[in-house]
Amino acid sequence: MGCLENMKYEILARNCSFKEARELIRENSSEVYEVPVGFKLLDKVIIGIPPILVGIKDNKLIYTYTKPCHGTFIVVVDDDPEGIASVVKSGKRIKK
Amino acid sequence: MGDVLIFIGCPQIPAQSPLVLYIADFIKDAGHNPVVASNPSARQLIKASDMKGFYVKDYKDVERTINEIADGLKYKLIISLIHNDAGLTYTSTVAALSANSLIVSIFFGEHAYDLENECEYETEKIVAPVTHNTKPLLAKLDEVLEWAVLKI
Repeated sequence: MGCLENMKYEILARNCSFKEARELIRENSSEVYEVPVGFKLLDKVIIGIPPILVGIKDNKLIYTYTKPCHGTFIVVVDDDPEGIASVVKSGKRIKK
Repeated sequence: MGDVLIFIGCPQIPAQSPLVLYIADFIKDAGHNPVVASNPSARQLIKASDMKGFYVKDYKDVERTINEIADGLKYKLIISLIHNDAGLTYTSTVAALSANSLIVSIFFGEHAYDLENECEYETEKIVAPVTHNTKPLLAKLDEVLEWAVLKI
């Protein structure tokens, strides 16, 4: 496990509201999972208003990252097979 | 007497820092210890206003605090100051992880009513669309804090 800054990632959207971010995750993922509150990726809780969604597409994770002054970002993180396995195991797959 | 968590967000609204000190003073007088969870810039504004730690001695990083709560740390009383969507998002997470805690949410800033309407977790709400003037919040804040500190 590491820090997002050490991973290969892209920012899909920035300064979103959490509701907007949820819709963007649905639109940009091939599989979408609802994860429990307190669920962690890269050792950090995903901060969010339930339901908290994590998407998967092309072996990449798509999820929210919220900062107090900058709102919610959507990050697309490559090369985190542990994270993908954890999402599939702990999350509930939902219809897009 | 236990720790009371004061959870704050981005410091761009001037009313935030004085509200934190006001709440911390109330909590200390009631015999509890205020712990402020914030980002570095919000923390620095409060520290500069309270250099000797008269009101607040304990500060925590906001993300670390959420991780600790997710790992089982409990606060009986959490007071959250919310003026943007990120603040509502953080507090929703904390509330969902703190089922047995009493959550007090203070909605302020120009979007106070919109944020209050979007709030879906169980909480005691204090709402006024103020940016500089804390006065419209204080009467309700006093009323809520008086019974909240007695419940913990």
